Amino acid sequence: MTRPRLSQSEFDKLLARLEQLDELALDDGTANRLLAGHLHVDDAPQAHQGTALAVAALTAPPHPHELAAQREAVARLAAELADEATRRARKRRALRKTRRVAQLAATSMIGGAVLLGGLAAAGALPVR
Amino acid sequence: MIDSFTDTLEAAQDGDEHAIASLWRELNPRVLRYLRGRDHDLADDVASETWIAVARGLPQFEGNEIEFRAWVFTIARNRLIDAQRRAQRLPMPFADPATFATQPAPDDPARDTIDTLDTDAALRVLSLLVPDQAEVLLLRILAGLDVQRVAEIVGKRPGTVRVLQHRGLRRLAELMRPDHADDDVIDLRVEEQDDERRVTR
Repeated sequence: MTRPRLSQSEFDKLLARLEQLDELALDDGTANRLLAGHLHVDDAPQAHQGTALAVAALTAPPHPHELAAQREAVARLAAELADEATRRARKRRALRKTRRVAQLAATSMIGGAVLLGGLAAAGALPVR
Repeated sequence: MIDSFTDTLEAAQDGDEHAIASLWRELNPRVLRYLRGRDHDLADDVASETWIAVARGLPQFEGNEIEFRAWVFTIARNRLIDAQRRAQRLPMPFADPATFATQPAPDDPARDTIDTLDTDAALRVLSLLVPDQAEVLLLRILAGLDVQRVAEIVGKRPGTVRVLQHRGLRRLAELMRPDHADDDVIDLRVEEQDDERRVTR
């Protein structure tokens, strides 16, 4: 089996590529600091200085257009929260009502059973 | 950071508009950037839907600031997936390789004055990554979440997220090189996507 021969320029390109791969290596701690924006561009590993710039751009203070809808958005959110509170209060009332009806039904059944038991014990129930 | 987050959250839960505005101002720009990085066309609508869902769930929310951020970004991600499903299409990030080469050379005297990259340009570069890598990096950078929480949000193991993060950072470094246009970007993306499928399987 013959090995493919590389020309000098191909070899140089491959070598440059391998060197570059090493340059790109990043340990966990540095990666975390880079992503958290704790690495200034000049302190970042050279190959990752562009990434530090990108992180800074992504975490830059809000642009005016990103806050432009604040008034409408906050009003909508407040209304939604108020609706949600009303819905929850209604649900709580409905739950309380259901609970009361269930309690009443249970009390009636128990009362009825006790009454019947009493009447039976007293022999006051009509016998066939 | 939000000052005394617990107080702000409690006030917002009681419907205080100043507190709601504070939460919105703190998170909306980041949520919007995350969504634009994932799908530029749907971002604004999905951000609105996200906040409506946040308002509905807010009275029951319990947790600290990091948990709140994770919760909001989880909602944003799920809403985006729903919206893309409704639109029945793949993510449409704005990727135009010709427009993002704004990085000056290390010895460029203009570098001192260009110490920031435009946010849109940064999002364009990230949109060139494999989607899973871009998502992990966006969540780590914009939501400020650690690997464990990002793994919970994207439904992958922390180890897989760490691999995606490292590959994403390597690729990002290549793309941010001033001479990146000399590389065959398309070929690299195809290779990485093949690798990614193997990793995430």
